[in-house]
Amino acid sequence: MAADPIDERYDEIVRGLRALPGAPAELRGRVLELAAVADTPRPPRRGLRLVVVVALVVAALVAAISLTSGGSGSKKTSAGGGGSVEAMPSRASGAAPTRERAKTFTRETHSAQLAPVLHGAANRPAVGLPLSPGRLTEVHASLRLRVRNVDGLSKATAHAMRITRSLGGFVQSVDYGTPSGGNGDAYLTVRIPVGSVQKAVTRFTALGSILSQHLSIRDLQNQANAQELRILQLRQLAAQLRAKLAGSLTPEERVAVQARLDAVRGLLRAKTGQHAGTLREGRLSTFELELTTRKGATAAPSHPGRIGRAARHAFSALSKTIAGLLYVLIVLSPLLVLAAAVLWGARYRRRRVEQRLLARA
Amino acid sequence: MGVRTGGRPSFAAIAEEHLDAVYRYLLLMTRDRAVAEDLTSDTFEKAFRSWRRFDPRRASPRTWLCHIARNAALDHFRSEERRRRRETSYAASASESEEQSLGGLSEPLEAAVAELSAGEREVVALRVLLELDGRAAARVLGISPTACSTRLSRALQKLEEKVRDHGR
Repeated sequence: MAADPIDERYDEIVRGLRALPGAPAELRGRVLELAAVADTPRPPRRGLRLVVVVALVVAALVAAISLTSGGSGSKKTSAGGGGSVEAMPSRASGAAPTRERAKTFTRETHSAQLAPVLHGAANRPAVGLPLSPGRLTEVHASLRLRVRNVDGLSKATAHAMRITRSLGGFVQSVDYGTPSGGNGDAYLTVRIPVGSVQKAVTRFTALGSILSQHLSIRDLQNQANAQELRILQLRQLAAQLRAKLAGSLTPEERVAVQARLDAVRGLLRAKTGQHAGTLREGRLSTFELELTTRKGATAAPSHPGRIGRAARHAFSALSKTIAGLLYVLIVLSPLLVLAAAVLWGARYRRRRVEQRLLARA
Repeated sequence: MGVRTGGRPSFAAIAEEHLDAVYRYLLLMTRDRAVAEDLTSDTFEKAFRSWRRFDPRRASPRTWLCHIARNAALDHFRSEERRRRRETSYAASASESEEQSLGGLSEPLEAAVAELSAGEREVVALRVLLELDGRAAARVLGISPTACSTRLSRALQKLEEKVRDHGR
């Protein structure tokens, strides 16, 4: 059994020590009697393990369902108060009648809220957008329009930029090109204050014939409120930890509290940044305009179907779960380090005590 | 007796194989045959109770039994120390009167063993009597293999010197 042999110098001592007697017969009898009982077969106790596994699976399912339904539930609730609403692309050729074009922002799920409003003689579509004044709303729109020719393309592009500026927005990017055969395309991304979205939709759709469009509106107020609340909570927690640090603590406790305070500060910075981003998104809408002269141009389906929506919800739930786990990890890590240090210290102390005891015995 | 159940040896087979080694280990640790018998019995009772949790992949049966025996011995030393503290005067005379022969050892060797501390006797017992390798013995003692090797060398050297002294 001994892989590393004992020094040969001590062979005599080793031999002498190995002459120690074995267990007396009476002890042997007692132990072997006990051993015989131990080996009688007992029914396997798998019940508890099975219960634990089933409980874990059920818990995981419940968590998954609550997360998924939580995501869509909040959407439904917020839709009533100006929540997430999506306008799907409609296809209409350039020669399509104006009534066809008037259907621009009507959609299956929220068609009642998005009923088109025709603007008199202009025969241009406008939409009663479900924007709630005073609430933060993220608006993202994409429009694909056809213009007659390259000349018209140039004018429409310049006009789109003027509209943007007149509505108090700015042009984020422009990509204009007339590569071949008298055809050309222009791609614009513009940011317009949310308050002027309605006007922008009306005026941009007047630039050409609508090939496709997509409008998504999402209420950000609840998100912003939740972020503000979290920021407040984190500030309170940081204040409590600072107060704790100012008091009398043992060095180990001080290290743990300081680590926790650092973690809370990091989180606070991240949450503040997120909140600023949410406010920014809620103030400015994004419009993506594609102007083209191509006659054969057709609308590309950009709206996700049921599967797409389900995938998006699943991804959102997964990201939330990961974020939650990360949060828990960040908050708990100082405590885990402290617990590990305490365990290590206790183990070290126990070893020392044992050594002293054996040295005295 | 030696029936194997589910790919691991039966408890009876393990008890049969390691009983002497555990007894010798405890005898050398405590230097008291009655105590060694009691502790051996305790060790196998505890082993019997935790037999279902024993995982042969994590440790050999001998190392596992050795852990249990060591804890039993430490508990014994602790209670002895408490008792000695309570009854200082009695314990002083009692320890004198409780000196007894371990049996099987030469007189000088037995005298030399008596002069070692329990810690020193333990490392000798693990490596010489239980024939654990350095790594396993170190794991039982909760020290590094190098420290274990050093401790064993010192203990054996001390034993040799004492045996020589007593032999004169």
